[in-house]
Amino acid sequence: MTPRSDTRPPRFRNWPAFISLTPVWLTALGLFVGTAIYTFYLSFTNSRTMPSTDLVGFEHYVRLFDARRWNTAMVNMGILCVTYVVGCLLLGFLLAAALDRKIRFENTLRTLFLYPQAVSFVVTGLVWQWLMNPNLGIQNTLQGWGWDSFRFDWIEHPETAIYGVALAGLWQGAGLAMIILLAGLRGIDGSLWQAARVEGIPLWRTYVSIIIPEMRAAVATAATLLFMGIIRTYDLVVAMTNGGPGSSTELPAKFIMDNLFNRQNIGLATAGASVLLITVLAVVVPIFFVRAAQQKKARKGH
Amino acid sequence: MNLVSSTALATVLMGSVAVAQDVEVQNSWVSGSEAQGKQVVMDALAERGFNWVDASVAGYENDDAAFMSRIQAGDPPAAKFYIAGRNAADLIAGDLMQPITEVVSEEAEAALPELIKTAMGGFQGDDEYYYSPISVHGESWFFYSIPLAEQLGYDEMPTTWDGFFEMLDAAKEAGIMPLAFSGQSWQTNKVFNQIAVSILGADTYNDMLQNANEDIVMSDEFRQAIEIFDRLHDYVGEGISTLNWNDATAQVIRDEALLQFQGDWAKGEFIAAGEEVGVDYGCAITPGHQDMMIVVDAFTFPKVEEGTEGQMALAETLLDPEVQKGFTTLKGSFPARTDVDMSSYDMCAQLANEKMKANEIAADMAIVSPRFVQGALADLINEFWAAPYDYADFQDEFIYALSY
Amino acid sequence: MSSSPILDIKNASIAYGQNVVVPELNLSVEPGEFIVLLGPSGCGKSTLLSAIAGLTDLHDGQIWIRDNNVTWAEPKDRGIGMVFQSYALYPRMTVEQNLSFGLKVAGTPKAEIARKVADAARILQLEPLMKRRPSDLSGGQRQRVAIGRALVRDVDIFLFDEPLSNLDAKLRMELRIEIKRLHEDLQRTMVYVTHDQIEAMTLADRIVVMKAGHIQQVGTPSEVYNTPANLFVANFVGSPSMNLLDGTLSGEALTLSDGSAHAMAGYPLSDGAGGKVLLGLRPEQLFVLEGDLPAGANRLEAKIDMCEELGPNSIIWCEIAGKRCSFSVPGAVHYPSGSTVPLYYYPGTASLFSQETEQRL
Repeated sequence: MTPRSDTRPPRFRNWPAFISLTPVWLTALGLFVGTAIYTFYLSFTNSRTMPSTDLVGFEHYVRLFDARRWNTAMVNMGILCVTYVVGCLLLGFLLAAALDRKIRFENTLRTLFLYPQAVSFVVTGLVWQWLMNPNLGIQNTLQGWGWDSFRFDWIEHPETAIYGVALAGLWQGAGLAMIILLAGLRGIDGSLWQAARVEGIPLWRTYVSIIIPEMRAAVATAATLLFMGIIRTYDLVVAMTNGGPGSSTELPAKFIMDNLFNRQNIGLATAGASVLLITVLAVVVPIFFVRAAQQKKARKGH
Repeated sequence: MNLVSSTALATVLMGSVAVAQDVEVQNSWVSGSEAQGKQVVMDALAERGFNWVDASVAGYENDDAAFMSRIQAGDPPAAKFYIAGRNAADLIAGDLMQPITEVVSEEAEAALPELIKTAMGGFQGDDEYYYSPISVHGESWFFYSIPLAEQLGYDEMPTTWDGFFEMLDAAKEAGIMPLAFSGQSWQTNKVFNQIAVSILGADTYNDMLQNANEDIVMSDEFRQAIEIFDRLHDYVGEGISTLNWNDATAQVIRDEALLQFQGDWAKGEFIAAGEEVGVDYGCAITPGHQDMMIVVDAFTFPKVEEGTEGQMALAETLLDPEVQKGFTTLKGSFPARTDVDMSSYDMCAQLANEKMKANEIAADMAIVSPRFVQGALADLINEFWAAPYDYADFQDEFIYALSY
Repeated sequence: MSSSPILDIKNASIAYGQNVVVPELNLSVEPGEFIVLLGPSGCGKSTLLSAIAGLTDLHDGQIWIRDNNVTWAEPKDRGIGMVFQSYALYPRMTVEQNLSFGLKVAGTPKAEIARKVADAARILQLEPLMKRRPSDLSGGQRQRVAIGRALVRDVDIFLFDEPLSNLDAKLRMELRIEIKRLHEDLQRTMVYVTHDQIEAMTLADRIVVMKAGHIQQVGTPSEVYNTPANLFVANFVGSPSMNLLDGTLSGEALTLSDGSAHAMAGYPLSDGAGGKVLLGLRPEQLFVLEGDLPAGANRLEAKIDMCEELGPNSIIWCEIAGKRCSFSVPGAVHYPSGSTVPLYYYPGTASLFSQETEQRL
């Protein structure tokens, strides 16, 4: 490491860049922050078909939290965060690790695993709807072969339907996780494996103690993409179950879209959007601060 | 102001001599029968010297979203297809819609049932009409397989719920699937409301929805409707949660299931499969009060800077009995006016027309309830179907949603 | 030195599929020796090292370490430690954890780990760095940690896979010296792979020069430098490389292509050697003739091309007997381009190679 110079650069040395980027910053600020604030404001008005300025306090929030469907949607988002994100990361990692072992047909397998990613969520949803349809799908086939007790009709039952959606999502999302994690694995110094092997460290231990900690950036990238996918998941559920049976596979994004466009209820939709934003921020902001603190500490330690 | 508008009028009138004035119509009529029906209206409008400019988007809700964005952009089309009633209520209240009262003739008024006229007023209470209705769908039907019914020894359908369930049990015993049923939200909702109308009767049902009448929701009768709805669980097949309504209808067509609760649009499926009413399949009104739940196809007219004549011409065209006849015959519905000659219609439509004349009709939630109330009720009914729970809780939640 | 070698490679061949990288190879290493495997990239030297470590399987043959046949043993059971080009330190672990991790996984008692790590840290002067992460270490410190990781495991043989090739020239020299000093301190056997002849010359007790999987010559640095076994070694070792002049040998009489006659008295020629040959002369084996030709020396004429002054000496590029050559003179010397300078050499120090077999005569 070369010692860092202590002389600071002049503060506004890059002012031309600063000035030229200002419009972009203002636009971004206006677009993201401005619309978020407007959304938040609308959630306190009696906007139904059209935006309105009549304030109604927390009425929409009361209705929102009374709605079985919204509460189910939020719980479902949590369930997907655990099953879908963790599932995709685990499966993606296993696939990536398998491919990274320099096996034969790597290119073929990689394409095969990534293929679902090229399919739209609508197609994935429909295909899995068929697969889990007790009259058409896997259950019917296996029962036809004589395995009478076999059940694979998760999406028919409110208690299991969301896991059916998670499974379909997993099928689609694992490839993405795999490709990101594989890139992460490939970015790791190959001699680390050899060093570990020379020291007699078992393969699983090499992964757990040496390789995976090195892949934090790749895991964080994959997890963020998957997580964002859940927050805006709409088409998969619409195509696969349309939120059913009942509201058992509803997700916040679908609730918001439905109220915004189909139910002429801008107030409730924006209340839902605000709660969703606050929930996401409540999760993301602490993580952000913890990471920032860690980085600061790491810099000081140098 | 006057000068400006009269100048504009003059310009338009002069223009209409030279070329037909355009009337842009936003609608979701894209299927074969709808498009054919639409042509009838187009032709009739052309005879009146106006040109229907079609702006269609597949799917009622998608079409609505497209329409709303045009309203918000200040560039509305001349007319918009809607279910009459609450759908445009906010727009009417916001003074964005054009009343069409002037083109509703006395003759037409006399031929329209009170319920439809209320819907045409958009529940504004200002003695104006904002919707011009063209056709009506009956939703209190069930369609049954005549071969299966005969196999079970039924020449006529039961008119009481007890008799109805006896028949379902008989079917079950005979190894026939009693009910073809789609578990999709809008389907479970139609069935529930159909049952509610049959138990409560049209007037009480209308009262309940229009006035958010708590007494009715809390009544034993309403509870009985819930019970019957819940009881249907015993008669449906597997894998229904994602089944499309027409795939369920196909089960009746293939004589795999005895019957299906459905609106009269199901006739199209039977006809397309080459089945004949009264021979292969029959239609019957839901047991109990045997009143008819209806939904009204209509158009509304956003206020526009110029082109009001075209709007009025279209509104008048839609109310024309001949146009209604031509359109509904092709679309499979029946006319909003009760004075149309029904002799060429099938028995189901004729029966529905009788119900209209007798005012034994109930308004679908789509007419009476604002969309957000309708949505809240729909969620509730759909959730109950998916996982039934305590009826009293359901009644509580129902009135809470209804009084949104 | 003990009679049995610490590392004995017997008839080893290594192949990737159909592609034989190292055909039959034999090599013995004595305990405490510093062996350098030298050769251009692709010569199989790293593959050989990897095979010694057990990271690459042998196609045929055997590897013995300390009288044990370890041909099929796991790397950890061979008694070897390895220092990689990138050092391959565990990035998320501190220096202390890097040193102790292998022992911890092997289930070594805690007290023993602590003692071994402390010993290694003392020897390698890592004590102030124990809590640092590899990213906070200098190149030299990283190298010491990598060596320490082998040291704590009490290995018999340290394997180095081109550890200095990624570094800048100054650092490379510093670390080279550090490795040399460590070898002298630790007295462990070291096998070191490099393509850099200066590293090889400075570090090695014995150099193994390899080409295309074959050992070309095994010998001390001076043997390899002064008496290269063949044309390849002569060319590969030494900078500027050895001057090679065409000639015909008959008995002890050598006739160069320019017609000049040279008596090769003093050169250890085997009987019957002759025919087309190459006369090999290192730049510093050529001297400028001032006055009379010394006894036993042969004379050459050099046509000067250009002069490079390096400070302590100068390299003079010239043409001798129609071949581009160079010779070295002490101090800063300049000859006019195009001038002719008389040179001489002693046949006893020269090399003769058969043009046919390219082997040393």
